[in-house]
Amino acid sequence: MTPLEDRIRQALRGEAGDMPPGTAPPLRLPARRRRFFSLAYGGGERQGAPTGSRWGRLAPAAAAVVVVAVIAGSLAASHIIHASNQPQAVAAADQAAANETAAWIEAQVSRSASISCDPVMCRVLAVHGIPARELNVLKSGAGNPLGSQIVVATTAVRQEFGDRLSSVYAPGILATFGSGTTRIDIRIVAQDGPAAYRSALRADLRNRKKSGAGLAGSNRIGASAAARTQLRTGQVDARVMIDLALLASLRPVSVVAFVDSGPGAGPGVPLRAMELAVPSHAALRQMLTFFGEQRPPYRRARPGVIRLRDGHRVLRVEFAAPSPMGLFK
Amino acid sequence: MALIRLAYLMLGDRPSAEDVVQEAFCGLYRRWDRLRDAASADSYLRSSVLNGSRSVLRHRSARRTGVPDQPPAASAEAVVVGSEERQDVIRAVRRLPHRQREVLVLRFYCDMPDEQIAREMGIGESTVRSAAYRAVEALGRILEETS
Repeated sequence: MTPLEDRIRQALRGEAGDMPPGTAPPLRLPARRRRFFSLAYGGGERQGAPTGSRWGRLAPAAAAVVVVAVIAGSLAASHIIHASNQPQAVAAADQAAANETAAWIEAQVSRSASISCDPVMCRVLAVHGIPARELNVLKSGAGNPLGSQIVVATTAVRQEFGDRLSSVYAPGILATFGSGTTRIDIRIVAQDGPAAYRSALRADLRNRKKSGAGLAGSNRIGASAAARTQLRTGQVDARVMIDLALLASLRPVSVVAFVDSGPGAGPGVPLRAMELAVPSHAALRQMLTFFGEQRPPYRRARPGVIRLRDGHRVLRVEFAAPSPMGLFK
Repeated sequence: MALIRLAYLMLGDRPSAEDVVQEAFCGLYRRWDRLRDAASADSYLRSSVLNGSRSVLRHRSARRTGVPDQPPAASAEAVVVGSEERQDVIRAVRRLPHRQREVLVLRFYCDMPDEQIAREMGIGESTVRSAAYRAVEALGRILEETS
């Protein structure tokens, strides 16, 4: 080793060794997981962490501009072709609803779920990072949503399929954005037909009620009266209940709430997330280890320690949409 | 702590280093069931930290702003032990291109053989050797200029 190389070695080791043996960095959500719909959005930044450049801070706005540009371009083309006289205000509302819908899908829907959408909406979803291979583009007069797990029901899709959309193809609603003519529903596709879907939903609800009643009566699970009612009435996703039961077999658990972030979700859609009290750092580590060891479909979709409005920290365990049926068979 | 030190040497500031290491642990946590065995976790984490550091450096280069690539103010103790020279070397290391910097850190801080460095960085062994050679040569020049 040359004297210069030795100098480099000494300098690097000295520099690294000068770092005080501080505590482990506090847990927080990775930056890319802080989505618009995350309760942790904007919270939990480490003190002293770089705040990023002006361009870094403007990146979300820039992305929004790209989305708006795509939609505006598509709408403009559509107007030229169809000689539509849609007022500009309606177009802006369309853009806002499409943007909200795409952000929700990106944050909440399983990456393996295939999605049917009209050409404009599919482009917006692609801008939000949904892989093209998962998108089934519904062109006018051709195809249907069957074969996909989810259909994004924009005005164009509703006009294309009419009543058949809710009665035949996609009876369940996961979330709704916008209102009136700009309303966009995210619907669950009944791949085996509406009768089979409703029958499976009824059977699943029965099983969820039965299992939920067992959990609500467990002395190892602490929960508010509201949460116990949600368990007993079968409102909680089967994956959440299975993970809760397994965790409770290891350590006493306190459920703060069962929640779902699907605005306007249909009555039969289960709650896909639970918020668990975090009594200590050791308990948090034990719970994180437990959830990390779960295999799909019981593996939680998104890790997250969040701080509630009252200042308490909770571990939010959230599963992707749509909820699978028949896990309790 | 060893991982935070590794990221710190690459990035030059502790908050970014902690972020990168935390991301690496989150990644390990998400992929735990796909690891071949628990022993490969160390290697996975080190690779994740290096990848994360590269990503941060790339973003910084693209933005040309953000955290300045300068070592923090020397502690009183560091001054007492005459670390002026060390700081010169560290400043010079941080002026090197990312790849050369990474090769130096892996070779002289992690004591990795060239073969392992090549694996970690996904480049050929000869590229490692030439990057190390160029890095040391460039460092010598920079130190000469600044002395």
